[in-house]
Amino acid sequence: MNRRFLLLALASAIMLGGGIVYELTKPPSFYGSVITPPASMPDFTLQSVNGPVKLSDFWGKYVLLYFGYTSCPDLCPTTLAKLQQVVTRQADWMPQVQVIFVSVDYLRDTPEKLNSYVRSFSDGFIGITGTKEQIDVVTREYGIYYKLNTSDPQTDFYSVDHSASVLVFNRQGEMVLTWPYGLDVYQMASDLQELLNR
Amino acid sequence: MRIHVLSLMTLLGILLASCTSTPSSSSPSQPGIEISSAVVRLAGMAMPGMGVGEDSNLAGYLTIKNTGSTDDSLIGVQVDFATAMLHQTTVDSSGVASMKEINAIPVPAGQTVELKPGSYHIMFMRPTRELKAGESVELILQFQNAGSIKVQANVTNQ
Repeated sequence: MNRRFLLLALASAIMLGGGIVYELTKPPSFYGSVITPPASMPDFTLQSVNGPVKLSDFWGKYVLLYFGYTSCPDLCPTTLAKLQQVVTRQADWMPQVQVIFVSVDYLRDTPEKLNSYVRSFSDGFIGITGTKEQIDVVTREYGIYYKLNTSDPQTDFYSVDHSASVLVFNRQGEMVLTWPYGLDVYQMASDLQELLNR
Repeated sequence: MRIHVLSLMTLLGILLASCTSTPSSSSPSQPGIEISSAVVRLAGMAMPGMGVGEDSNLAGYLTIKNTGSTDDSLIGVQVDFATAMLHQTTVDSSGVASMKEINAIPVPAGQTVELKPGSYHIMFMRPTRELKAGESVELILQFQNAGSIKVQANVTNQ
């Protein structure tokens, strides 16, 4: 009887231990698209309202980089509002994560306008832009598509086509993940939690 | 006994009236078309000075239910604070988003169409006054068949 009990206890311990080891060593699962191995990206400098901003200024933090334009009524505010909810999901995340909004609309968006725009989502967000030549270099190097469409002759308004994914950089400035448009706050927060635990 | 019958009839009358009245969600309906969840989103426009003037734009979202037996289309929107346009955002398989103005949003008979982020929406171009979260604004929706429908939309931050 005692022997049978011991065997059962041993089997249970092995199963429990195996489960713990599996949980600790299993590869992390992400909702976003994982970049393997993490991609070292060229640094860049664009203008914020407080002067030049380099991506390498934020090494040591996770960076969430999003390209868009402030006249965008739909997708850009939706994404930035989601990112605000993601980074404020836990109190200690904000100091570890930097959201940077790059405007590709070099004709309309100034650093001042961008600053006002991004701060309406969060005081911690940074908005940057540059000349056409600077934007062209950054978007090419980062695999971002954009196109300023022709103005409507009646309203003079033009829309901008642009890549809608958020690029996620680790503390070493390497791109580790992209979040395609459509992920919800829970999914992005889950990915961020996984990354911040590293 | 007569009193009881009268009371019962009154109660039935109240119940019937409540069943046939328009929903209490402050979204008036007309035969065939029901509007719900109308919002004007301030996101990106909450700072003082933003939301009024050059190339500032807001988005509006709502749900249209066509309970009738004929197809209909939303063909225009009017508001007193901006020029309103119908737009559609699409995100292609490579993740590129584009937004274009459209002339109509089809609402087939018996179907529900949602105007939502990343899809059909109303763009309020260059608002002429600053809106505040919590206020209510009137949208006049023009439908091909149902004609003009007025709804109140809540102004929200996000």
